[in-house]
Amino acid sequence: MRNKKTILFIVYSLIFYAIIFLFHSLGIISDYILHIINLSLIYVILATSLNLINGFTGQFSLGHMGFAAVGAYISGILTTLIWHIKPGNPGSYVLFIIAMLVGGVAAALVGLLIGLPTLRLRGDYLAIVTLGFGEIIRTIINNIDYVGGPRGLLGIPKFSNFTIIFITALLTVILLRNLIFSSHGRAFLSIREDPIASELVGVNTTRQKVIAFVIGAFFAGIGGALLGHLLTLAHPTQYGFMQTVMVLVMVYAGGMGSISGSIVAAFGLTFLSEGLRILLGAIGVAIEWRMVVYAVLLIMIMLFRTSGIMGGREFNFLLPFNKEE
Amino acid sequence: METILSLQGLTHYFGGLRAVHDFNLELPQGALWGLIGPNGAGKTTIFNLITGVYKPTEGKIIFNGEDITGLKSHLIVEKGIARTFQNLRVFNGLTALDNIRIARQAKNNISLFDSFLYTRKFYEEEKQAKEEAMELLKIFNLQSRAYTLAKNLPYGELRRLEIARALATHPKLVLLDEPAAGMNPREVGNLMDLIHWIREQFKITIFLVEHQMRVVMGICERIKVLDFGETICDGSPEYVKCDPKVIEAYLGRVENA
Amino acid sequence: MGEIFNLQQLINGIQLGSIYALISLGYTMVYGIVRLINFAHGDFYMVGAYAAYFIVNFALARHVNIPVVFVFAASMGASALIAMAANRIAYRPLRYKPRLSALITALGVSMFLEYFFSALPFIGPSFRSFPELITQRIFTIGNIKISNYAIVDVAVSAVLMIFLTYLVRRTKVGMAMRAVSQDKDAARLMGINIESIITITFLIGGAFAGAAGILAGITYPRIYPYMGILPGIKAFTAAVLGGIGNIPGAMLGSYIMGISETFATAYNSLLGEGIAFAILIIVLLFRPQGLLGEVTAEKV
Repeated sequence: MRNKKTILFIVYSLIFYAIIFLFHSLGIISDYILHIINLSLIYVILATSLNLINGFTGQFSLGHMGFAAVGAYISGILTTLIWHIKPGNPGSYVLFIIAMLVGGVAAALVGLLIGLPTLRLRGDYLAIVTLGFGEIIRTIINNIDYVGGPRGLLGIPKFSNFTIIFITALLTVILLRNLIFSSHGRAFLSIREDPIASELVGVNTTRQKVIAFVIGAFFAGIGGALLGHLLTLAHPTQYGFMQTVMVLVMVYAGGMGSISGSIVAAFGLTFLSEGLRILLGAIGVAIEWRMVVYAVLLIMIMLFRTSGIMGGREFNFLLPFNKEE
Repeated sequence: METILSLQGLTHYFGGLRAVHDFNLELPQGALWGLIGPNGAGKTTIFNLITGVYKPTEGKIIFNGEDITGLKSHLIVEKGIARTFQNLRVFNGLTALDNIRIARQAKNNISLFDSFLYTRKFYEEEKQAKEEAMELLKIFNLQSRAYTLAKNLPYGELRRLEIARALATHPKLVLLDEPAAGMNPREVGNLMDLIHWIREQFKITIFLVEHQMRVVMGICERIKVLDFGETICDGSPEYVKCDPKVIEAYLGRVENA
Repeated sequence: MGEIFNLQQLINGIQLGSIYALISLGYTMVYGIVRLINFAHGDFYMVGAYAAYFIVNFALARHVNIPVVFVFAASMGASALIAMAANRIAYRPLRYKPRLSALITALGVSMFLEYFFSALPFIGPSFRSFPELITQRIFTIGNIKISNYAIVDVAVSAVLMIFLTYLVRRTKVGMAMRAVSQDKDAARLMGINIESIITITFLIGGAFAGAAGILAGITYPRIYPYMGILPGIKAFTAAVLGGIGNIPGAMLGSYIMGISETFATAYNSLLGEGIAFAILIIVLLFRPQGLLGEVTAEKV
C-alpha cells in the first residue's frame, strides 16, 4: 500500500476494536452496551453513505431506510428462506457475506431506478420521490406473504457480530473517504456548490449525482443487511420514515460533508436514543417524546448551526493525505 | 481563416419575450472578438445558448464543423468551449486548487474502482492533475492561494481564478462574460494584457462580452453590437465607435432624451 | 354493469380529488412564493381534523348545538395559526440561506407536529373516531349511490377554490402574491411587503389544509397524528402533476389524482397505494414542468 495515513488509520481502528473486544470478554462492557456499539457502527454505515448523497453532493434523499429495507429483506430471504444457513462453520459466513453484498447490489439497482428519472431535475424533486419510495417499499413488503407481510421476516440467523459489523463499517468509511478525496469526490462537491457552474466546467452532473446516489443506496443496503442479521428479524416498521429521519439527523448534526461528523453523530445519537428510551420509560413518559426531541434538534441545527458539530471538517487521522501533499 | 464557431440565425424566446433574434456569427480560429450592447440586449443569453444552458428556439450552432445545437453543457465543454460568468461562479467552499482540478474532470479517466482503492493509476492521475493545476495557478499568480478556500479570496483573484478554471478544461474557444466587471482601471489594464497573453500562449480563440467600451475597443479585432436581441452593428472598433446607431443604443435617441 | 360501476368510481374519485385539491393548493402556493416544499403541510391538515374533533366533542359533551360553519371557521383558523407559526419560527430565519436548509427544517416541523401530537396524553398515537358532525344520508339514483358527504366535500372545496381564484385574480393581495412569485426583488422595489405576503400565503394554505382535514374527518371518520403523511405526498404529487406553483394546475392534478387512485384501488389495493408514486415518476420523466406549468429558465 502506498498510503501511510490509511495504514495508520486502520491501526488505530484495530486498537479500538481490540479494546472493545477485550473489555467485553472481561465483562467490563456488558452484552447490552456491545449491542448498542454494534447498532452505532451500523448507523455509521448508514449515516456516512447518506452523507455522500445529502452532504457531499447536496441532494436531498429521504429514502435511505427504504434502501436499507431492500438490503435487509433481500439478504434475509437468501440466508433464512433459501439457504437456511446458521452461523457456525466458516462456510456459512462466506454465504452470509455474499447475501449481504447481494442485498447491497439490489438496493443499488433500486437506487438507479429511482435516481435516473429524478436526478436530472432540480434537487427538491428527489426529496419527494424518495419520500414516496420509502412509503411504497413498506406497502410492498406489507403485502408480500413470502416475507411475512406485516408480521415481518422472522428467524433471520444472527450473523452480525461485533467483528463483522466492525470490519464492514471500517471498510465503508475507508472506501467512501477514498471516493470523496478523488476526482469523483471533487465533482460531487462542485455539484453541491453550484450545479450550473459544475456542468459548465465539464462535469456530467446528472451522471455524478446518479453515481453518488447509487453508491449511497448500496451501502444503505449493506447496513440494512447487517441490521437484519443483528436483530434477527426484519420488520416494515423498522424501515419507516422516522428511521430515515434519525439517520438524517445524524448527517446534519455531524455536519454536511464530514465523514468524521457522521461517525461521531452516529455514536452520539444512538447512545442518546437508547438513553432517552430508558429515561422516558423509567419516568413513564410516552416514547414519542423521543422523536419530538429529534425534531427539535433537527430544526435547531438548521437554524443555529447549519454546518453541524464538525463544521464540514474531518479529523486529521481520517484524511488520506496531509493537506498540502 | 477557418471558422471555429458559426452561429446561424440564432433566436431565443423566454415565454413571449424575444431575447435574441436572428443572430449570426462566423468566428475565425484564433480571433479575439467582442460582443457589446446595453443592459438586457441579450449578450449573456447568446453565451448561454452557445454553452447549452438554454436550447435555442431557432437556429444552429456549429463548432469546429460540428452541429452542437441542443447538446448538454458538459459535452459542449468537452468539445472545447469554456466560459466565465458575469457574476462569478467559482466553487466557494473549495480551495483554489480544487476549483481548477474539477475543470479537468472531463479529461480525467479515473474509474470508480481506481478511486475506491487508490490504485497506482489513481496516484499517477492525481499527481498529473495537481501539477497541471499548479501550473495554471502559477500563470495567474495564484500559486500562493492554492489551498485557500475560494470564498476567502479577494475579488480580483476570483476573476483570475475563474479564467484559469475555464482554461483548465483545455478549451479551443473561451467565452468571457464581462471579465472586467468590478475592476479598477489599473486592474483593467492588467486584464487586457492577460487576455492578449493567454490567447497567444494557449492558442485559443476568444469571444467576449463586455460593458466597458475601453476594454472592447482596446483589445477586440472586431465587434458586434446587440440591442434588444438584434444585431445593430458589426465591424472594427473604429467603425463601431462612430456608428450613430451604436451611440443611440448606448446614449438614447437625442429627440427622446 | 361495468359502466355504472365506473360512474360510481368516478364520483368517489371526484370526492377524494376535492380533498386533495384543498391540500394541494397550499403546497403549490407556498412553493410558488418561497420555493419551498413544505413537508409540514400534510400535518396542517391533521391539525384541522383534530381541532374539529375537539370542538365537536366539547359541544356534544355539553349538549350544545354548534353550527357546522363555526366548526369549519375555528378549525381552519387553528390550522392557519399553526402554519403561520411554522413560517415565522422555522422558515423565515432561513429565507436567504441555501434552499436545502429550509427543506430540512420543514421536515423537522412535520416530525415535530406528528410526534408532539402523538406524545400529548390527551391525543395519543392511536386512531380516534371522528364525531358525526353531519348525519349521513345516501341518495340513490338508478344504481349510483351518492352520499351527502360527497356533496359537502365537493361543494366546500369548490366554494374555497372559487374564493381563492377571485382573491388571486381580482384583489390587490392576489396581485401582490403573483408579483412576489414572479420576482421577489422587483416586487419589493414596488413597495410590496414580501414577508406579509408570505404570511398571508401560509394563512390561506393552512386554512385550506384545515378544511380538507375536517372534510376527511367527516368522510373517512378515523383520525390519527400521522394521517397527514400520505395525503400530503399525494397532494404534492398532484401539484407537481398540474405544474408546481400553478393554482389551476393543482386543482386539475388533484382531480386526476383522486380519480386515478379510486379506479386503481377498485382494481387492486396495492396498486391504489402505488398509483400516486407511479404518476409522479411518469410526470418527472416526461413532463417535469407538469401539465399546466411552464418551463422556467434558471438565471445564469
